[in-house]
Amino acid sequence: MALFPIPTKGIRLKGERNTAAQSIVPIALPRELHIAMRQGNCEAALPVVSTGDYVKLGQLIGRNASPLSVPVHSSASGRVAAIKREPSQLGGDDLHIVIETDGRQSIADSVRPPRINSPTEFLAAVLVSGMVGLGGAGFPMAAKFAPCLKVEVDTLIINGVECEPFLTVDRVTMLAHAGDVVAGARAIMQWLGIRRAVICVARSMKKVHELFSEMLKGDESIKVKSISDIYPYGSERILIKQVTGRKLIPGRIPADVGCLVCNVNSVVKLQHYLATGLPLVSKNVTVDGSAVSYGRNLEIPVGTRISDVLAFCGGAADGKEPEMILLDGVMMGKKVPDASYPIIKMNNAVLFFDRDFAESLGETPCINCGRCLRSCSLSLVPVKIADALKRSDMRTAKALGAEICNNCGACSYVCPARRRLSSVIYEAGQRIKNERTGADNERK
Amino acid sequence: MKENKSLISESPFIYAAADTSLIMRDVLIALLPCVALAVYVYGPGVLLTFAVSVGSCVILEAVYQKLMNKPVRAGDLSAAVTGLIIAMNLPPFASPLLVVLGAFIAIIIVKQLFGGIGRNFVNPALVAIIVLGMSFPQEMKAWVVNDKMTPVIVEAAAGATTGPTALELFKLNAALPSDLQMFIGLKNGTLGQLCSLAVIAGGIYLVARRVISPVLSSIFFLTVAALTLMWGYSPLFQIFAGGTLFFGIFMANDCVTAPVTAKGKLIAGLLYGFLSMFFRAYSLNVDGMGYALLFVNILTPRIDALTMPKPAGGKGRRIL
Repeated sequence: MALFPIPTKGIRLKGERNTAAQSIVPIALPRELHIAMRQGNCEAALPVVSTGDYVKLGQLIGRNASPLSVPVHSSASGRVAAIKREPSQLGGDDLHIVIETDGRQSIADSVRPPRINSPTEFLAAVLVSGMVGLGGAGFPMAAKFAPCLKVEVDTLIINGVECEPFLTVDRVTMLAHAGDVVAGARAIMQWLGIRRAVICVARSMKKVHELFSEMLKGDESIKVKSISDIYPYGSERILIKQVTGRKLIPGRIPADVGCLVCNVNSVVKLQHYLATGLPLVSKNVTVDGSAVSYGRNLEIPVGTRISDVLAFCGGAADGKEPEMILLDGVMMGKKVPDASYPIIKMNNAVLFFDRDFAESLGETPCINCGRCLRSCSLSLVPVKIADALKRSDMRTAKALGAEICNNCGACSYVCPARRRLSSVIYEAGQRIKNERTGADNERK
Repeated sequence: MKENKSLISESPFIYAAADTSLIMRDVLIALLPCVALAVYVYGPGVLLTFAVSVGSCVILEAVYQKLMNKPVRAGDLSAAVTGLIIAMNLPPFASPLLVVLGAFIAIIIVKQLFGGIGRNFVNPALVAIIVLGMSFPQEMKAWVVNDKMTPVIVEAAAGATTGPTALELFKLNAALPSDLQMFIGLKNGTLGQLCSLAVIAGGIYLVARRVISPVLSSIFFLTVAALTLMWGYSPLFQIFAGGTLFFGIFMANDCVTAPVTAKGKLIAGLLYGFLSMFFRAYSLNVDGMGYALLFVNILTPRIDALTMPKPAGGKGRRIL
């Protein structure tokens, strides 16, 4: 038995939240949008418009061609200027529909609240909304909800912990749209037959916690819970453990242990769709970092390029070009080479820095300090897994649990030898996971 | 398809400030009170011992790495820490030749021949001290007493410049300094044993800076205290006497040779406490801290294997 009933590992980050007081404002509509056909960890949609077409806000422009793809809608009214392949932040390149906006933002006729009478219709509506998980995973929401109809799921966990530094968009959204969080949660519970919901917020979000407790007074089915301000306590596996005490063993999904985990922004946007019928065409994003003039929280139309975001935030601080542009955060995000990349649905932060922190770091030998294994919230032993991978010993890596690594980066962050532990382990873990899924499918 | 650069850079993009040399720098800072007191008691001449030890460790490491065509990492301060710790375990005015020999044993034989930093299975400074102690017992016990020290010690030396340490007085059943004198007073012995308070101050600094966890040291001291109490003496004496404090704080916590988990540190602390008190009680050796730590170092990989955490989800098997 573990010494403590809940994991007490992880790391304490300084947690810069410079934009916590900035409520979400809409960005000025850019002249040009580059809407990617791949909007998250999903397969690409197929364009259904051609160059020269006039499209309206909310109009379908990319249809979901496979079960793991989501439909894409136009985030503005205007003319399709081009459909071309451009580099994607997800790697490789991808078809982008370039729209010259006309500023009228006239809404498509297809935009009307969905009529839902059954769970199947609810799932269909979620698919039509083009929702992906907005917490950073970007998995198609309909595909995530589908297993909940097949197995008994009793707990909806709404994730507002936001442990990634610099990000404030979730807490600001919760303050502004607490009612939508609750309404969205009720809708998900109603149609997926989930008994209770727990809204998880970080311990430091006192105002948010008060707001929800006040709102949910006397409500037995929805509760609000504080989670320690330890990184990465907003991760799925840890929240499930903290809320229900259940363990998610390798190879299982949350539904297998009766849980569904949704980010707060996903719930709010879903509720917005259920109420208005406007699909997911804009994204709430935190803009911050040392190289941007004003950090703020913005509502950004999907397809807005990073350069437009930077310009709207007063341009680069001191007029210098940012040296490092990160999407989604400093711990789990990704670096893009320049500001030409467009925002996609799964992005929740754009961070500009005046220097690349990793540039001067050289790897030195491990000194066996044990910081990595004390930092791992999943009780992995990163250094042993990384050493096994160095000798291409996949069996040991598997036995040591590499596949549950979610690339939170805590071990790389603390390593005094500056070893890039997490990325190596995560990559190998994904390989093991895919092999397992492959083997499972063969058996079926 | 053109390779996309965005995939090559890997998260995370921020890092904790503590890298290897910062950790080593903190250990050096933690040893400063001991250095300052040594200078106060023995005069600036004692700095030669420190300088020779630190200098020869760093130079030997650099020369070895250069000759072996390895990346020269002698500047990462780990060799400097080894050098300073060796010096702290020497009598005040040890012959420079002795010091260089110690540095050679630590850096070349124990550290580099086993693969450099992180690969040595025992603490390099520890082996150096043990080898020197066995090979040059007279020179390694050339204690110097002067009147800045606790009165009981000065009396026991009876006018001579050399005299017994508190532990030697204990073995001789002679009059001992009081617990308070043992705690704040100055005692003869190795440079690191001059003042208990200075060593503790360094330990507190290391814990506050999160360089070491307090688990191993505190369990070790508690074990020592409990055993001394059972032995029928004041529990504090054995903690303040000899190398208990210095070894328990600065040497047992050497991250390369100490267990990594809290549970492992607890086991190592207990084990070290029992072994060291066993040696103090029954061996010919007066102190016994070094030999006991050698055993603990050698057992560390086993302790680690026993106490490795199991991956969350609980299905994984412990493999080591």
